Amino acid sequence: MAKSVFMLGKGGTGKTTLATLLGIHMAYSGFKVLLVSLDPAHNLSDILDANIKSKPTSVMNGLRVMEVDLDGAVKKYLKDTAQAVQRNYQYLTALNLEKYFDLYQHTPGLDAHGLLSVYQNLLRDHRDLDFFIFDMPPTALSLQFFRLPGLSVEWLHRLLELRNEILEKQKIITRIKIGKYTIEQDKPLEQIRNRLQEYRDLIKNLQNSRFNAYSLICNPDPLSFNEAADIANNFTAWGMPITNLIVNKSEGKPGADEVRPQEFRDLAAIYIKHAGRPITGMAGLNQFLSENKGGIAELFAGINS
Amino acid sequence: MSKMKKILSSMDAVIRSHATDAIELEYLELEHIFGLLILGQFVGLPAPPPHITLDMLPVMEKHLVLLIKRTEVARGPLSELFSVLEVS
Repeated sequence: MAKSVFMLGKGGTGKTTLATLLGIHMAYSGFKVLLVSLDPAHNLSDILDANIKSKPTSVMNGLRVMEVDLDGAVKKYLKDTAQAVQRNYQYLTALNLEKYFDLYQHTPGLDAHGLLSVYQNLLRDHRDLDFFIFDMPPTALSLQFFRLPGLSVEWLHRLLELRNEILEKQKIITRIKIGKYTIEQDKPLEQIRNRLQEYRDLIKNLQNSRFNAYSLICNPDPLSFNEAADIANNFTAWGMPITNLIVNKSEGKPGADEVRPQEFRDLAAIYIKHAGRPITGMAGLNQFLSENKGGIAELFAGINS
Repeated sequence: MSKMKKILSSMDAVIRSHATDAIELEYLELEHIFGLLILGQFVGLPAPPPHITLDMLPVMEKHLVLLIKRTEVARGPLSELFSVLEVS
């Protein structure tokens, strides 16, 4: 199974650039890598100076890249659900539900679920890879993405309890009326159980440091550090501790982060120098990589350990 | 003899039916709550995250039909309760 590297941090800290540099470094080291932009405001195309699509495109030997079509993912999920409704329902109720599916397209919360289903599909469809690098959206959507499995488990667990209580009552009624209880398949119960298992497996997978690395990127300024600290605290609470902290656009020496919060002092930081120029196109990226090989190699070593 | 058997059988059915009336009401109410929890968005009530509703929707036809039926007795919920409790 490929290892997933999640690049997290405040918007504008350089997540996409660092994700691309890391991908190039990994490909040069002989690994098969898929770099995926999960940020709806994609800028992978701008950084690579190429037309990146929603299907994996090779940009160099060993490195493929793609920008996720979030709207398309949500549309597909709604279409699949509508088809399942049409398949399972006997009455015309299904027809009256159609108008709600259009409304759901832009319902808050479905975008995080759309990203999660894309992530699961990628994991399932690309088993030949060594690494995935996920360029994550800015903090709010990223936190929703990682919180969603836990939230779903909480809801499904409550629904499971209620469903079991209902079936218990049904059992008593049937026993008194007919004298015996015949076990019938309860579709909602089955669905709840299946989903619960899926989300529990997903959480277990995300918490497994053998298959996941969480790289937190910030700039040497208080706002960026504070947001990074919030992210780190959430991830620790969810059982997914941050793998490494990258202080990007720094002066390249520890003195640059005097504003670093106390909770980060234990986490060894990797310092990446400010380029002072836009880093775009393969030539620009390769040049920056050759100037900062130590920092990117250190980042990779932390991930690959 | 067979007449007596029939009477006893009917009595048994009536007694069993009476014995389960209250629990049946409770069972139905729980089904309604369950339906409302998952399908609440369709009738203006707070509901779980949208993906849970959508994941469950394909297996919720019975509950949708039940909710629609409930709206038909919504004007006389007390009369329904009184008839179960045999208050006249």
